Amino acid sequence: MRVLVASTYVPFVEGGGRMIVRDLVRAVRERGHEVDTIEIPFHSAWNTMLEQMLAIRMMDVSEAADVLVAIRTPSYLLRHPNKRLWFIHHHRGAYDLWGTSYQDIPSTPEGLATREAIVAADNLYLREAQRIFTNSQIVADRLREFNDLEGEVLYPPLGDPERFVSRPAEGYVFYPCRITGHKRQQLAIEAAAHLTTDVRVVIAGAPDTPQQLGPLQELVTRQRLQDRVQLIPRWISEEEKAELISRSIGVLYIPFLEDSYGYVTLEAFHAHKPVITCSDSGGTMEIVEDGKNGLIVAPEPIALAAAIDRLRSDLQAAAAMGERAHETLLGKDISWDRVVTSLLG
Amino acid sequence: MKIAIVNNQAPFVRGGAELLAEWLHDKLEEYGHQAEIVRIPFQWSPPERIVDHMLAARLVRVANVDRVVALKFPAYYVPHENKVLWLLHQFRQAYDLWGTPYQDIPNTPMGIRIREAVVEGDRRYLQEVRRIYTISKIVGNRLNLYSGLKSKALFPPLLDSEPYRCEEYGDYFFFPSRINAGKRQHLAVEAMAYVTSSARLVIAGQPETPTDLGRLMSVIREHGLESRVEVIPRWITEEEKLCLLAGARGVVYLPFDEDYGYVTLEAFHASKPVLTLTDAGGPLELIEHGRNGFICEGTEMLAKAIDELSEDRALTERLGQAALDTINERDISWDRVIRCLTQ
Repeated sequence: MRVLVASTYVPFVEGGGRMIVRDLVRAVRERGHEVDTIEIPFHSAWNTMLEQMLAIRMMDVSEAADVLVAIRTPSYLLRHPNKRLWFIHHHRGAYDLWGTSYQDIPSTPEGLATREAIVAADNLYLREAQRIFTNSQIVADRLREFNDLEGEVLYPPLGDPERFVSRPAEGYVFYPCRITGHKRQQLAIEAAAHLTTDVRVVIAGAPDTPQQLGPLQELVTRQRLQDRVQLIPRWISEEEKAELISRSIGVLYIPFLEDSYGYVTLEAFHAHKPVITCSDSGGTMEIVEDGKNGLIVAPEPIALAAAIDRLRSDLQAAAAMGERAHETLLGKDISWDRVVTSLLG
Repeated sequence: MKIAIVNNQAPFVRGGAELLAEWLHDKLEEYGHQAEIVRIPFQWSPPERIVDHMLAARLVRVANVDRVVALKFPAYYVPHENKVLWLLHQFRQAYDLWGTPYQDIPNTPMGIRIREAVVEGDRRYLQEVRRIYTISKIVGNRLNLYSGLKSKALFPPLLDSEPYRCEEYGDYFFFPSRINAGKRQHLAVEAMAYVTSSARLVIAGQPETPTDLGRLMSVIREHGLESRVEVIPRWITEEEKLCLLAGARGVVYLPFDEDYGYVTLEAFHASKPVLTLTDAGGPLELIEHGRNGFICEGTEMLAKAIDELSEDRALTERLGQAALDTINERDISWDRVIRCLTQ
């Protein structure tokens, strides 16, 4: 089968959308199909968005492939008689973030008209898809709420899961994630001040901006946590990350209100490690079950510290949770076989 | 500098333009820039789609880049305040191919308006770019003739010229290229019928269709040249090509009105003279008659050139050396390409 994977992107910006395209292309190719991508640059400045949407609509790729799989908004504007959607998010500033500080379109007459046009276009053209899948339950819920459309949840697997293996736990929990405000590395450091066992907290990731890092380092110094907290403030390789996960007691993933459960959670589960997350982290709620394959705690330092101590003080129980974490992956059938069969079926 | 290389895309199709974009990408990164290839889909059939895609390219925004290097119509319409062109070619069906069998756009009132839109689009929007380079003089001449725009030729170098070598000046002439009517392998065979020396001809390349190959083989049979013309009718590997070049007496390359043609450059890197015809297009910009090759009027003259080189080893060596020197004289190098496109 000839498969076109379509998406949009901002040049020179790596993001989940581009990763999912790359992983899907490889998975489709490995299963014997011919595959190419259409990745159209898209800039989310509100005052040129409608023009850019029109551009995508004008492009004709209807005869180029047997199936078109559209990923990032608004690549589904592309015309194709056999279109599938793997929807990863709306233009959220016009939907669920409208009315919050993340609203990125002004509430002026022009802004309101733009928002209405975006919603109207979505309502029209999302319906051209033969089948709609989403990357999470939250996104499926939003599709129903805002566009009155049903999407089937199809969790994105890791591109290279074999990398993540389990090794005997050493005395630390690990939080691998780019360092930025809503990922809440600060909360992890604040929790470290309340730990009662000898457990350490290792945090690794590239800071989004240098300004993100300074306050974290200051906090470590001020609370005299130099022996407790290890900050690795740079991009770490996949090998390094896999190694650090494999020897951890468990993994932290405590962002504020993410759509998806996060690749970090999957990586931990592949490595047979439990995940500690927060009750307001969003997508992790779809896969982490408190006390079974991880721990769900209130987003505050003392509760988080207690959860970390709990893993450290009963390593056997932590390892057992890790085993169930791995079983969770199998149970939910988060695999490329399932993704490719669903999208092309 | 963050540089977007903006190119067209026909899904599942890879050709010279894709290769050039990838080479440029790798070289820009090697020279310390950040580079990314941006591909804008282009579908030209039915002909109304041409205008749709012109508009689409015009409405796309390439944000977060310091410079755009655009290669082809209509992707080169993307708006950007710091855009340079390294033009492979305009939409030739609307220009030099109009009125030929390759016109594609019909001679209907609609077709004529589509053609006018292309011509007007180029005249208007190509004025916005900071500088225009073309991959050959012929492309630049057409741009000047049809769009009234000045440009400078910037010949694309090979990605890696290191492995090209000359081992000997053997008894065969080599014609590497896809086998099709436009590359005119059959004219090389016809020339061989006039050849009086013991020279042989080796043709290698993927036939575009089985018919193309069939036609070539029947010309060989007609002239009874089976023992002197060898055809390798498939895609040959890099190493096979290097090897065949290294041992050749010279290279025969006879495309019709080619925009550029890497074959000439490959031959020159291997210190081989190139024989071509007066209507070959791009190759004529590098080949100097009697100095690094021969530009022939017809197949009889081509046969004489083959005989002359076959029978005069010293002449062959002299032309071969001059061929290699030509690359430096014309400054065909990535140093120059990167300098021009980033300044």
